Amino acid sequence: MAVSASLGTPRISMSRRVAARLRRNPGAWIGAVILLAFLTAAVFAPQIAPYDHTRQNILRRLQPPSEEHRLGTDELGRDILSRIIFGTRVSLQVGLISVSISGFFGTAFGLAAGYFRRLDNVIMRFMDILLAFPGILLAMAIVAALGPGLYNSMVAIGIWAIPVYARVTRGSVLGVKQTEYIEASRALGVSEFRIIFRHILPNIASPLIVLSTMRIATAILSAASLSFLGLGAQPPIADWGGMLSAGRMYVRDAPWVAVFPGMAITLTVLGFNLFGEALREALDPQVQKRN
Amino acid sequence: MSVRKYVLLVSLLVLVLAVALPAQAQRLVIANIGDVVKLDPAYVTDVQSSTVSNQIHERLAVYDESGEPQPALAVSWEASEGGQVWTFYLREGVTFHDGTPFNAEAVKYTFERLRDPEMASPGAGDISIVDTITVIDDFTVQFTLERPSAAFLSTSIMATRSAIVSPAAAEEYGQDLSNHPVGTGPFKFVEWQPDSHVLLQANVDYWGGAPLLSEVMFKPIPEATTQLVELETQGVDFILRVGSTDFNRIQDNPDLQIFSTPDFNARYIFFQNQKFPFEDKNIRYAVSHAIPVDDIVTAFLQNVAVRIHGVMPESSWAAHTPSKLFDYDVDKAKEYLAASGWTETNSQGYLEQDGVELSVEIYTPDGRYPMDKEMATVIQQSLGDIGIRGEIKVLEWGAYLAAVDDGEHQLCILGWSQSSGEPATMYGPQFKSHAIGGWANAMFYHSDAVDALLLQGEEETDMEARIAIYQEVQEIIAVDAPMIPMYSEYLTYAAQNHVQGYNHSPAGFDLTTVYLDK
Amino acid sequence: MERVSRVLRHIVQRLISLVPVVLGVSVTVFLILQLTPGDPARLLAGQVPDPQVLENIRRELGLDQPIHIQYWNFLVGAVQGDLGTSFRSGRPVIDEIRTRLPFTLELAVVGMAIALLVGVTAGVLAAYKRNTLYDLLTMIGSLIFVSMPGFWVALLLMLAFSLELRWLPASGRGGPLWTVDGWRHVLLPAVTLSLSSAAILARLTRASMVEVLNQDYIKTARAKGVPNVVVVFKHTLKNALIPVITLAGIQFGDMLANTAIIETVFAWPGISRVGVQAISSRDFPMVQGVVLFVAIVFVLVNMLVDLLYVFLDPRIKYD
Repeated sequence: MAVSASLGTPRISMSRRVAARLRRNPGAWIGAVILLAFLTAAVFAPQIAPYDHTRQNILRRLQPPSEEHRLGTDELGRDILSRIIFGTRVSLQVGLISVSISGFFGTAFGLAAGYFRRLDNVIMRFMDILLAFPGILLAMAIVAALGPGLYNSMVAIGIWAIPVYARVTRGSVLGVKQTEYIEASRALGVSEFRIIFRHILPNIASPLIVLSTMRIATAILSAASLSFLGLGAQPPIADWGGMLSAGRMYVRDAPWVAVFPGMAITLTVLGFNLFGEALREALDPQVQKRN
Repeated sequence: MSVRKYVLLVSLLVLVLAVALPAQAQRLVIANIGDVVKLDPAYVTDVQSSTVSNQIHERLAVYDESGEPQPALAVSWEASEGGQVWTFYLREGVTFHDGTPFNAEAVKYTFERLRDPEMASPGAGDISIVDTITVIDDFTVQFTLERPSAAFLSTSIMATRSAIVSPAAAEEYGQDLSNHPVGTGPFKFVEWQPDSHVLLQANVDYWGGAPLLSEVMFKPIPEATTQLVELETQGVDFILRVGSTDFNRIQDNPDLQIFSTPDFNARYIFFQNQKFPFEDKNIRYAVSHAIPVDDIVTAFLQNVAVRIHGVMPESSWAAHTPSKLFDYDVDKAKEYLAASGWTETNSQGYLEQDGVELSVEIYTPDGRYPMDKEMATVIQQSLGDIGIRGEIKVLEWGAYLAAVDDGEHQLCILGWSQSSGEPATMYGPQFKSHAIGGWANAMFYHSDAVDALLLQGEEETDMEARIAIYQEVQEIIAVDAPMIPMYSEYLTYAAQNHVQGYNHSPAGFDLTTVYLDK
Repeated sequence: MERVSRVLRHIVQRLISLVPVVLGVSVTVFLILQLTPGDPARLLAGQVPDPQVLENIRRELGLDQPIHIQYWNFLVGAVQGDLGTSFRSGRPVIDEIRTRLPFTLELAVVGMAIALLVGVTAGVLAAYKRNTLYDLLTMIGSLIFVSMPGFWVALLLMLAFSLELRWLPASGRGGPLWTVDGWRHVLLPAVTLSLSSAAILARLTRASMVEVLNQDYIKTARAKGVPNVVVVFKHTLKNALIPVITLAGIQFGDMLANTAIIETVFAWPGISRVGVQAISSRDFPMVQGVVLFVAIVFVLVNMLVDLLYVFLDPRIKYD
């Protein structure tokens, strides 16, 4: 039953249904609003920011929030609000690009390993090598070798999470592969390509989406960790992780330097998670069946 | 209970307490900025190791507070033949912690060991000027140098790596001496738990009198915030680093005391003098006028550093403020740029000439010197203000050293640290032309006049003449402007109030007179 | 019986497959280190790098040898249990690791125990009380925890519990875990380490539980009138735990590898801090050693996780 229903569902009506479900979910709305707000901030940063985000005034450093500087000034006397607005660009970039790298390669490896038993051993041993690498040390070594800078950090963070995707994907594929409808599809002679992309992938999408939303957060935080170790974005680029890391020196005297970028990170992550969660529910074939 | 019995009991109690109290362990706990790397003095290259090593080992001579050489394991010395032959008369009756007697053989052994190529000790560089070491008698040892040197004491004898080690222990442990250091110092090595602590015990037979403390423990705590919290919560008695942000907090705390004194380090902005655009003196002048060094030092390093105007910090006898000074003056800076033909700006507002944009790469480490990365950011903006595009490269220390050794930078932030005000050791490695590439001349500065004067300064024994020579060197350098002097960090420590008897000096961390008044 | 021997065969296979993993890791580290700018000898030579001294140091460290010889020497030593000598400290790498690895393991195990306890409990309860205020609060709480950077949490906890309340010491390791002092010292870093893992595990446990609760057989059980508590804890939990355990294994590896910052902030004498230090100081043998050991521990942990799979989900076969 499930097989025929799923096979017979035309693509357009499915995405329409997903959209309809999303509209009904308040979490999706809140998440979407947060993400849209940050996206807008990222795109229109030069128009929105009250000040030049790189302009310093070192004699007016560490000023508390005021009329003039809504969120105070940082250790170089730069306007924190403007830096947070510009930092949106960097943090969204770090999160999305590094998760795209790990998501694409990780899912591909995981699907191949879980579905084709011959490839399983080779791929997963290769993943083991990557996974077994201590994350921060791997990222440090990659950045040390490639040189510092935002893009190298993204690559490092992206590579670091490939095996996580591969393992989760493979685990889910192993579970799904043995369910009745996949075995039935196989028996019906459906092509492997179609089985993987039409039946397995949608069925394992929910853990991957949950993972991705979490991983965007982790990626932004990993970038902050690299900043802590002195391997972040090059100044004067404003990235939240770097701002947070620089702010830790003043956590007792000028807490706003670190508090506001921290809140920006939290809020963005919250947006991704709420939206991702709603998407997961909307995509869930189990829920779909009940309709 | 009768009154007599009661009185007896109380007096007994008092007696027990009186006996027990002094016996209470006088253990001083010190937060070190990182774990000790090596305790074999021959291999000590970092502050955290030398701080500990100098409690265990001693040198023939040490600096006093004013930076003058004072007797230590040598009671006196003399230089002859224009400073080419140095004779040291050693202290008698001193023994190493393992019981080995200290004598001329031990001194010769230590220095021969330092320069043994098999040892691969960086100390070999400190004493490369030494030709032969001769034992005259049990307590007299003579160094013959390859050429006369007035600075021999500073460059070689008083270097941290020239501390005298027990020959018996060195023979027994070989390369493992680092884990079993044996010296003559006021404290004996007890144990070293990597990344956890180093424990030292008072050497009651110390020739200078037994220290008042019974034990000293060094705990590595890398994060500044953690160090301060440990100090405030009485987890440690002493911290060896105080940042500008924490200075006031410590000063305002009635339970804590702060120690601060000028030190012998200097931090600079270096131009790469053999590379575009800084091979042009006008551009060096322009940038020297464009960077608000006064503001930088005031804003970032209040209370913990002092502005310098020359190569040597003010605390040195050789310090000299040159007559050519560069005040912060953007208009003058622009005049110098115009003098070299940089007048046209491109669409982004940066200066351009024949299609070449005036842009420089600013190299900086991150956290090696206080606020270094932040300073680089200020420098970048200052360059932008006069139309020069600055691009910052933050590198971690290993890659940074490799880059500046190779002269990849155009502008970089570098510092020099030493434990005396000796100009030969400060100017020599940084300004001599043979030190370009792979040594410490990251300016790639070449001046025949300076080379000649520096050589003269090393050989001259008359103090007045030396001062005059180094003043002349400083004047030449100021006019050439191969670098911008920034600041000298103070040596700033903090401790609990119950730490008493401590004498704060840039000459060394002396704990012999310290006691705890708890 | 057959099942047991299968599992044993699987263990042996996995142990054998450890060899290429370790070899792959070591080759990769070696190559990355070779590509990294920075000369170890220069970093050991002090402020004035005398060329003669540099040459001596390079020779003593074996850095004057061609790269493939260096690697071969390392490999030959490693096979005999000798990982070489740390450039920086001059001590055998194996000793450096032996003194520190137990402390990192201690931190990670305590951290993981806290994360599992808190995370799984919170997740199960959230699934059980699905769509209630409790559920909402747990999920929001987990979102907040997961989005706070480790060093930030570390500093906040330290300021709160060490400075303000003066309950716990701010740094260092006390004694072994059976002493009060040991626990007082391990608590702050372990809790810091566990927070994001606990949050991730709570979310995954909930998601996984909900998924299983939607399965037909659970619905059947419910329809048959089995009480909700029994459904949740007996029928659902075991199946829902499979992805949780996979993730816990991965999280444990992450913890082992990422204790670096927490070890630095709390001055914990562990292996990650020395690993970070070793990269900065270009202490090649030490980097190799740390990475290899963390890798081996990690692989072993994952092997255990895979074995747990077999017991939890009989549908997965090994052949």
